[in-house]
Amino acid sequence: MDIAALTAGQTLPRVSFTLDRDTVESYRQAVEDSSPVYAEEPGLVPPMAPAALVIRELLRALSLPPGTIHSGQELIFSSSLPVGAQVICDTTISQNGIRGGWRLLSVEFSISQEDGPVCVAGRSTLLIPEE
Amino acid sequence: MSIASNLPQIEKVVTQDQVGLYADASGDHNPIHLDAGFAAGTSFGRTIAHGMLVLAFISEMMTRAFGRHWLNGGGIKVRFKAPVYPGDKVITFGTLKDVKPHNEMQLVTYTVGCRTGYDTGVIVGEAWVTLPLIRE
Repeated sequence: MDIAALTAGQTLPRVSFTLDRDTVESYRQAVEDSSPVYAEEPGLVPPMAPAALVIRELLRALSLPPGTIHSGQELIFSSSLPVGAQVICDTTISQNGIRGGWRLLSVEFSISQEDGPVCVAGRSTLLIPEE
Repeated sequence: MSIASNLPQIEKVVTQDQVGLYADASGDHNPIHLDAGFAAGTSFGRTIAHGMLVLAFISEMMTRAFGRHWLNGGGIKVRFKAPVYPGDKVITFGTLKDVKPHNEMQLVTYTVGCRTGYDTGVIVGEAWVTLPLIRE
């Protein structure tokens, strides 16, 4: 995808992924989060996990180049997601411009279960090295 | 639930192994996090941890403090100010900024972030959570 051609307001194709047990557990072990709430309720997904997986989908969809840097992040957790949830993610470009020799790209996203309300919303700001 | 002025800190030493685990768990295999040779050619000089990995430490701090209230009504807005390198000790902080009524609840806002053992602020921002009103 030609990142330079992305315009504010442009939507990216909807993606879907599953918060399966292995994925959630791999995430929780990687971030070393042993918060008691996850022992009390093993079916809870750490709220950052879906957001982290959205970044993965962005990397795939946009073919972001090596050296891309995450410069800012906003997240709102409206409701927790259960392990096993199949979620959909809608993404919109909110900003795309050149700043200081880097491309600044902001992407807004919302994550929800099929036909359900938004559970996690956010905006990721990325600095992309310009060729 | 009482509202703490300063949240209990989370301390983590980030290792390259942990960065690798996070890359696999998140699907983010940007070589800036994993490839020493690639990273040497960047302004960072060596590999750096994923920003979302370090941000997860702040989320853990909020989860430990507020439990389900964080998972069902929390929010955060941060800037990644400086890199975290494998080997760095990262310490989270959360300082009470504001409490105000919000829809028969109370919106509690903290200044949050992470600093390294060198006292460098690597993440700075705010996090907020909606809590029940404490009735006398």
